[in-house]
Order: sequence, then C-alpha cells, then structure tokens
Amino acid sequence: MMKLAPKVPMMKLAPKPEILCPGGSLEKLKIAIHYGADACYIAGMNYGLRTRAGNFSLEDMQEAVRFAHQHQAKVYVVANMVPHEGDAVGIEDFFRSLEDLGVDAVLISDPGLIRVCQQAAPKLAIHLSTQTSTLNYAALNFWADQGLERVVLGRELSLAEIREMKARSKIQLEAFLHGAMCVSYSGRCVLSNHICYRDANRGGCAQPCRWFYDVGLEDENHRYRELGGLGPDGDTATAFSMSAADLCMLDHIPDLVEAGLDSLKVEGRMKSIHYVSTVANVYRAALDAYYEDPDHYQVKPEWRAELQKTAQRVLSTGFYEGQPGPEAQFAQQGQVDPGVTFVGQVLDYDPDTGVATLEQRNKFARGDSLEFYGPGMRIFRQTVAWLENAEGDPIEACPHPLMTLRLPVDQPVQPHDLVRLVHDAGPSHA
Amino acid sequence: MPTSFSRADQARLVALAHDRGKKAVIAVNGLLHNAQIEALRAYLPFLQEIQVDAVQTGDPGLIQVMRDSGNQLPLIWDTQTLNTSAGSLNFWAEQGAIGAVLSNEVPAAELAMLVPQLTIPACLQVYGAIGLQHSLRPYVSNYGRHTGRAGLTAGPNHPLYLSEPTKPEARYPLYEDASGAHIFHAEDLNLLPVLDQLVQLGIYSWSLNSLFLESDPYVAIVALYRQAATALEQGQWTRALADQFARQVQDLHPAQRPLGLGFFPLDPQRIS
Repeated sequence: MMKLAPKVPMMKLAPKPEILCPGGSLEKLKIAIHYGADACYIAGMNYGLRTRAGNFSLEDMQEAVRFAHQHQAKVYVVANMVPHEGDAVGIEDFFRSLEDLGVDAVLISDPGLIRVCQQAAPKLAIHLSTQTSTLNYAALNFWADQGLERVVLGRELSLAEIREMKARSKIQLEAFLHGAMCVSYSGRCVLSNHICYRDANRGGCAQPCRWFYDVGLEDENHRYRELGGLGPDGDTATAFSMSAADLCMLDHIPDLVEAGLDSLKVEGRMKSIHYVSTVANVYRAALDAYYEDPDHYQVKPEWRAELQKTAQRVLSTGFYEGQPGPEAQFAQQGQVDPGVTFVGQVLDYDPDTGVATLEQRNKFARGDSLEFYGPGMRIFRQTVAWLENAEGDPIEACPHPLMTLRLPVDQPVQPHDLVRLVHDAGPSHA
Repeated sequence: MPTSFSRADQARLVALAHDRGKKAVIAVNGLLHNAQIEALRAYLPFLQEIQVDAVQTGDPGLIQVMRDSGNQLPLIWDTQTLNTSAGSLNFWAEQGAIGAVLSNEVPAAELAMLVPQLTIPACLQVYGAIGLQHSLRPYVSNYGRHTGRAGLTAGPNHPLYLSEPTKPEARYPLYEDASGAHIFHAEDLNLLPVLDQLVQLGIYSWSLNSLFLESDPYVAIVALYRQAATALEQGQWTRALADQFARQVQDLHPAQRPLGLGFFPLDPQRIS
C-alpha cells in the first residue's frame, strides 16, 4: 500500500499557544481540562480579584495540581489584588504553600507582592496581571529583568502592536481570547470604589460601568441641560453606558498564533461549567485544526454555534483590530438568547442497554429535546423518550437539583459529557 | 493631562521655575504604547537638556528606556489608583524613584500605617478633580454615533456630565481627548481643612489639580494652600485659620461643583 506523505504546512508555525481557562472551582477546573484547556487559573481564599467566585482551599489546590499535572495541564494561582495596608497578612506563607504544592505560577498585580513572593518562594514562577495595563515592549523587558516569567497584556492592544512587542521582548506573553472585558484600562477604574464603596482592585467591583446613566451638559452660564438618559419607562435609547461587549477571537486564531502569543486566556472564574466546557471545547478544536492544516484553516459553523450557546452579550474583537465602536460599548442593547439551558452531567453509560445515568443541574422532562456534548466537539440531539429516578421508578420530570436519573441515549456518551435543554424544540412538563 | 506644552514652552517654563528657586516636574504619566516608547527615546535627551527636576510616570517602560539609553532622570512614580501600599511604593524606590504619588483611595487610617514604612517621600492630591476612570474607548464619540448625534464632542473645558437616574444631583464629568475618555468624581477634593493631619502623617508634598478651573481662581487657590503651608511650618495653624482658608477656597472654586474630603476621613472597613 502506498504510504501517504505527511502534510507539510507551507508556513512555519509559531509554537502552539496554551489555552488557559478559568477554574472557578475544582469541578470547573477538571471540566475545563477535560474539554481541552492546557492550563487553568484558580484563586485561593484570599488575595484574588473575584471574592465572589468559588475559591480554593490548599487541599483543593493540591488536588487541582495533581489532576492537572496528571493530564499534562498547568495550574496558575491568582493573587492579583492591589493590597492596602494589612491586606496581605500571611501572604508569605501562602506563596510558600503554592511553591510546595507544585503550582506552576502565581499571577500578581502588585510589585510589592512580587518582591514578597520572590523572597518567600524563589522557585515559584510569577506572571504579571493585566491589572498593570502593560502595553509596550519596554515595559515587558523591565518585567523580564525583574525575573518574571510572563506578562498578561493589557486589552488595549492591536495585533500589530502585539507582534512588535513579541519581536522586541524576551518574556512570555499572554492575552485574552474570550469573555467579558473591562471597558477601561485595567486597574485604573475606581468608579465602583467611589460610587458604591466597593474596591474594584480588591475583588469588590460592582460594575457600575454596565449601568445606564443620564447625560447632560452645561451652557456658558453653567445651566444644566439634559442630553439623554434613561426614560421613565426604562427606555434606554438615549441612555449612556459603558457596557463593553464580550470578546470572541474565534475568527482570528491564525492572527493570535502569528502574533507570537504564548497563552490565550479565557475570562470567567465566576462562569459555569457549561460555559467553560463549551468555550474550551471550541477553542481546542479551532487551535488544533489550525495547526493540523494552517493553509486550509476555516472556522466551522458548529464552533460558532457552540459559542452562541454560552453568549450573554454581543461579541466583539476588542482592540485587536482597531478601536471598538459604539456597538461594542452599548452591549446591553444586543443581549442574546443562547437558545439552550444547561441541565445535566453524564455520570455513567451502559453500552449494553444504551442508558445513561445523569446528575441533574436544571429541570427537564420527558418529551424535551436534549443536546449532549463532549470533548472533541461530539454533539448530538435527541428527544427524552423516558426517565427514571435512581431507584428505577419512572418519572415524568426531574425537578430536584443534583438528583440522579437515567434515560436512554441515541448515541454512546461518556462520563463528564454535559447536557443542554434545547428551547422551543418540544414540550416541557417541568 | 488635559493640556500639553510645546518643547519651547516646556523649556521656558522649566527655566522660569528655576529662576524663582522652584522645581519643575514634567508628567509622562499616560499609559504608553510602542509608538510612544519610540518618541520617548528622542524626548528624554531634551528633558535632560532643559534640566527638568523630575519626570512623573506610571509606566515601567519609561524606566526601561532610561536604563537602555543611559538618559537617567529623577523619577516620581505615579500609577494613581494602584499606589495603595508601602510595599508597592518601596519597590519603585528600589527602581530609582525619588518620590511617589499616593492613590486617592487610601483613607487617613491607612495612610497612618503606610507612610512611616516608605523609603521615599509621598505626594498626595489635596485639591481638585478626582479621576475615576480612564478608557481608551472614545465614549463621547461612540455615544454620539449611538444616539444619532454624529460629531458630538466633549473636552475638558466643556465636558458632558453623567448621573445615575436615582441620584441626579451627582454629576460626573466626562470628556474625551486623543488618549481616550476620562471620567471624574461629581465632587472635587479639598483637603485644606485637614492639612495639619497630612503633616502629622508625614505627607509634605501636595498636588493640586487645575482641571475645570479658570487660571486666575486656580492660581489664587494655590496661593491659599501656600499660605496654609506657611502657617503650618511656623506653628500658626489654628482651626479658625483653616476654616477661613477653606471658605476662601470655596469662594474661588466653581460654584456648581461641590467640594469634599474624598476618601480621607473614611473608615477603611466601609470599603468592601
């Protein structure tokens, strides 16, 4: 039999960047890695910027590192708050613990904490947070000389700028790939601090940027005149807002690779396992497809369709392709309906009977249309023919959170496959 | 900064300051992109030539350019919102900073812990508009296009004002320039009533922001702060004097813009 010659790409590709996903909890971390993330970022109980996210105890971190390393993935711990006096008590011990646990790097914003980390845990790699708004190659070289391993770039950069930064610096670069964005320079917004007394740089941001505001101006005699605002019936047509559209760089994987980025970051430690699994799955497929055959790379419609199932706001490319316009600032006006609801996780599958055991995460019923999906972009839909509870009794619906149930599936499934209820596709008795 | 000066004006103003025995600091405190780094390489020798006393910056790219080129200038570190702890400011002291500007969001109770640990002098804004947000997005232009008002502009002399529908009395100035959009607090800062406390805290460098003011009242307010500083130096500070100065500042300050003490008197526990 003739042996086919291996495909040789016409161009030499940069080393494949890692897909870095949020690990808002141990379950989310495991799901993200299962669905294709090369690395996850997590936070401890203190020192991070998402105090309302699920945060890891040291025991959970130990398990996270064990699981990740077993799957050739990495774990980065965020300690990226901007501390006031007294906030960083105990952080030396925290850094030492991270080093002992084998955490792959710690993400820090504050240079005082960088020094503390370097003294307390000299073998722990340090990544510089996007909160510092690093936007030029000279700053990259400054941080490289300070001994840092990586810088997470500010969001206000074009692809051309990033290419130049990579060419003229000697440090790993990480940039955002997908998810919610700050509308202002990171770290330089204290709207929440002053309006709500919630510190944006210590995990308390109340996101007043996403509110609606009235707008006015003054004449030369300082008389105020309204220009627009929130109408009495909630009409937002002339209201002011700063609600940035979410980032989605699915259509620009080749550009991100060619810019020389070492890591592509998905935002969202507070987001669900549905979100993190779907986003990781899509970008894994896209990145691998590009490296498999860069000359014929195309974005597949099913990838785009998958991302729409997690979308909360309209999507944009941020600053990568130039300055964002009004459609990327007034993003509330473009909120989307994902068309699905996350309803369950596969626990087990019996190939002899074709019956799957699920853990419910939202209610659904016999006759509903479900969509099963798993790593590698395995996706199929079916109608729920019948349901039974853990005792084997037939049920019409599964209304109780985390209840175990069984149902027949049209195709084989695997543990950790996830399930969506498809809206407007059939009856729901739930 | 809302205004910029030509190189000729910079040279003239630095010389004018020196002639009067004063110092001149030039702000290079924008967030620098690659193109601006290139421009800095040509700019730094000029600053050395005119003998500026210091540059004020919040971008380590400037420090790196100085190191790479050998054009070292005295540096004041100013990342505004991020300068909240002694550890952070002392890091920049290690990098050669001769001073640092404290964040406006540090209450007095925290300043009492922070300042004694500093290895460099700290500067604090005591008067004027409080910056709340800087975005590279053109908020005003975008709003104009969004609402069918193409060509809508708002500069520092004629800003727009944002207010929450439930709190219409609080008007936050917004203007847009080449560096993006800038939002300020509805209330301006005036720490004159507590200058004695700043001295007790060890903060002897005070900055006054002239944004939204005409020249004459701003100069008069600076003169009042100078008189207040002299009174403190000479041990003549009294509550009555402080109140008198505060009234005079209030009279000079734009009537439509309230004055307050900002974060200074806040209980740190109030901030979550």
